[in-house]
Amino acid sequence: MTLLEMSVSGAVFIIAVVMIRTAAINRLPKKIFLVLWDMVLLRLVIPFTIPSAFSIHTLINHTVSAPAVLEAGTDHAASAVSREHFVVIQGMEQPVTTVPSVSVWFAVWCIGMIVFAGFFMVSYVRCRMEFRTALPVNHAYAEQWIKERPHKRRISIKQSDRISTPLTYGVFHPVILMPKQTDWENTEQLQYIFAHESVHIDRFDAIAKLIAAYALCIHWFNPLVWVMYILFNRDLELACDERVIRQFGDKSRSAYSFMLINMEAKKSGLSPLCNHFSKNAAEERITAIMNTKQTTMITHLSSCLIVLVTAGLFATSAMASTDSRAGGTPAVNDPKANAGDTAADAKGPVTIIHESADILHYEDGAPYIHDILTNRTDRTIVETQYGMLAYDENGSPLKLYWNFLDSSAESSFEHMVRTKTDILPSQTEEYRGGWSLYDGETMGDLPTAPNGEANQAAYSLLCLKQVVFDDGTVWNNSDYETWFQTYAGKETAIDKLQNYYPYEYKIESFQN
Amino acid sequence: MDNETVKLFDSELKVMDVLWKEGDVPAKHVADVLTKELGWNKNTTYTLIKRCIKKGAVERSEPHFMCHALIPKEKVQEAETNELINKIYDGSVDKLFAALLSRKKLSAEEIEKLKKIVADLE
Repeated sequence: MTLLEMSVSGAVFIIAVVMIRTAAINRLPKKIFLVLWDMVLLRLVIPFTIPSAFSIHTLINHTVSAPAVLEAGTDHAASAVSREHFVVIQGMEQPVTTVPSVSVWFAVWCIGMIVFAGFFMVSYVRCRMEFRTALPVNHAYAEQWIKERPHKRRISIKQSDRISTPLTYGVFHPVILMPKQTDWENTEQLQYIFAHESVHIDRFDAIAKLIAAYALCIHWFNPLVWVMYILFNRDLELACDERVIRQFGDKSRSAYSFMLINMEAKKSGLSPLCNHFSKNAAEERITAIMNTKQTTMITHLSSCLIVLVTAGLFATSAMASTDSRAGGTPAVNDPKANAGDTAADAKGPVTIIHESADILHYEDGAPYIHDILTNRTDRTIVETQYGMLAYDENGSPLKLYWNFLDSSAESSFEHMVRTKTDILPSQTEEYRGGWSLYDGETMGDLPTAPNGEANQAAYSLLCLKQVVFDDGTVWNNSDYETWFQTYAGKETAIDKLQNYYPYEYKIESFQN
Repeated sequence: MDNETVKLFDSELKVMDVLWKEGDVPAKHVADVLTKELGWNKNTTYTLIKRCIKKGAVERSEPHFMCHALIPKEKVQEAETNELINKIYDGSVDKLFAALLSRKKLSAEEIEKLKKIVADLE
């Protein structure tokens, strides 16, 4: 799963959570938003796929995620693939067709990530340095509070004149840092503040924030991840408030709200400047606190249901579209879907599909064959061996100097290639260059075999002979010989050439 | 310097306190005292001494990085709560971007409005 795919499916998930949040923020326990955000974070950070027949990506199969990703990938990579690169590879007689790993977009992404990660790290380190200068607190209430709370980790309470609202830092030895103006006699207020901060400590919110920052750094180009980042941080506070109110009872709601408002007032020094963002955040928070209710069975059940449904829809990825047929959606992309009885069993057939093999041209006009495979097996394809044939526009087979850099090579109708690749289960290959064809006119600067007929190539037929998977198993195409006899060196009807793709290989068995 | 007061934070004042109490001492001694008193790491103290030097409150001389208080206790004014950390980082990295997107302060009217929300929902 590529980063872009992760980002796109993460974005869809984020939109869903934002919609639920907008619709029901004061009706649901805040905890469930944290659960949802945690799932979003996992989706954004870990490149896993959980195929589900009910996934939103199955339902809108390939109309949202896949083509968007594919097109983008193609654009970027296409401009970056140089013909020289490919020719060099071919010249090494190791026809490995890969996308060059360094592209302009990759570089831009890297720079952005480094900038944001650096920004976070510098501010984090600066804050931690500053917090080290905090002073110990010697107030009876604080000491008593720590004694009364048996935490696994050693908690300390300190104070600093560099901050104006209480905060907590540190994972292993958490410190609750209080502003200098704290009223140490106001124990009612202190108990709320400590309760709030200790919820943060118990829930390891510091780690959650770091993971969110990490996700933001890798997905910095995705505006929805920024939305997630801001809302996630707000919801951490809301969930914390909620827990405190539950702990102290509904009666504490207004006292707790007033404490927050007073702290806000103290901090701002009644500044005339306003802003919508924090105004909304403050209002949202106060309203949420005042609306906190004791949970009932119904809220529990509906929360679970919402989490499960959302997770099922958005945290998962599309199943291979053969399976989506079982789910009732038309399999638009599934070749030969109407071929009849092939896909009878519930799991659907295990196949590899040659989606296309087009004759494309590099910028200077040099032709090459570009084919795309879809892997509908449960394992990753690491190597393929396939035969290639070429035809002119009338369907006449062409004898080509396939290995045109080798002047001793003979021309032939067919050419067998073995190539390393990396196609994950249910993945369709992205653009990755192709097999260069000799073009007598435009490749004048290269040592070449005698002039061939490449520039007449209009159609190309490819057939897999052998596929090697990442677990060491191999599939051998028992139909290869038949295919070869049928097409190699034979005049072939145009419509047959035009409708050859997508070409489906049924995988009956894997061999060790 | 004579007519001006220097603004120092609490942590920097702790450094000055040692110098005012004990006269000129090596930086290492200041660090030892503060480690005992506050549990500070010695690098934390050295950082604070450097800040005091930068603010013109302390002068260093060799050997042994001797520290000398340049200003008497009366000339020092405690710095007002500085919103720097809070405004930009809110003490942690979490609200960093919220701060970048907008200012964090609420106006008097907004605070009244919040109080009204509490009263209404009560």
